[in-house]
Amino acid sequence: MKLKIKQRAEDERGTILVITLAFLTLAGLTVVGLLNYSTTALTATNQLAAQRSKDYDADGAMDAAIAKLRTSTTQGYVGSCSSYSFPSTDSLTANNSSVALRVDCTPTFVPAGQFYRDVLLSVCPASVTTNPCPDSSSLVRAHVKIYDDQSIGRAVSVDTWSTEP
Amino acid sequence: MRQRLASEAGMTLVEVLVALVILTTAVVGLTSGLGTLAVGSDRHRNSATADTVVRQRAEEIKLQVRNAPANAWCVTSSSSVISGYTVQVTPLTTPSACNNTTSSMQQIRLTASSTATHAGQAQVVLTVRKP
Repeated sequence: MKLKIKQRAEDERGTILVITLAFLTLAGLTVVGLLNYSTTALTATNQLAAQRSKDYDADGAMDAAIAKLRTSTTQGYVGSCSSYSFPSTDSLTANNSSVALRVDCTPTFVPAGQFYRDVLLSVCPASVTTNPCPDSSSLVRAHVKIYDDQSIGRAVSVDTWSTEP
Repeated sequence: MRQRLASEAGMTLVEVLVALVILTTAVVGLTSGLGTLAVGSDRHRNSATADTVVRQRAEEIKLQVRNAPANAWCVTSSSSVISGYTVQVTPLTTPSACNNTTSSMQQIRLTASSTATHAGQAQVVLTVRKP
């Protein structure tokens, strides 16, 4: 009987410490998992906010370029349609100031006697050197007509507006 | 033999005490960590909601400008409350010609902020042009 008690005591020596350590390991892993989950959610939110900034900047660049083109009397014609730099040209504010944008202008020939300008505008990261901006790099594209008939007050017609493919 | 058994019984008691100390320390640490996690989660949720609210207001303003008459399209300072968030609209630029037919553009900063304990905030700069 005494021998059995001794054997059991020897067998169980250190068991509780092992159980404690196992519990701590399990709890530690759970906390690490929760922290990872939390970090992933936070990263996703930040990426969403960054994407939103990029979208608003691209839309803003397009609107600013249209407004600029509208006031110009020399731009928007074949052979005369300069790119517009956002936000630097008009000292504007960008959501993401680290990514400068450029709006390339491709004018379409308009027959004489027609008082409108017909252009295809394309928003591109300034880092892309190809002009006009290739489809793969284009963030926003718009087909715009500017009516120069002063009787209707130089109206703008945005025929198409498409975001990146 | 009795002496050895008595000695081993004492070791188990020490083990239990050591384990209890370790567990108590761990539980206190875990509880504190979970508390921080909960605060962070609350802050994150408020921030994500602020982001949605500011976008909602931005889209409303874009639509409003698009449908505005050509002689009154400029956006002015305003403050509104959406789902418990205050959205502040601040014009960054004031076009010289909001009231005539000259084409122009305007930039506006929108800031959504909550007054919750772990407040979240989001902002966006919007560029609009004369319709």
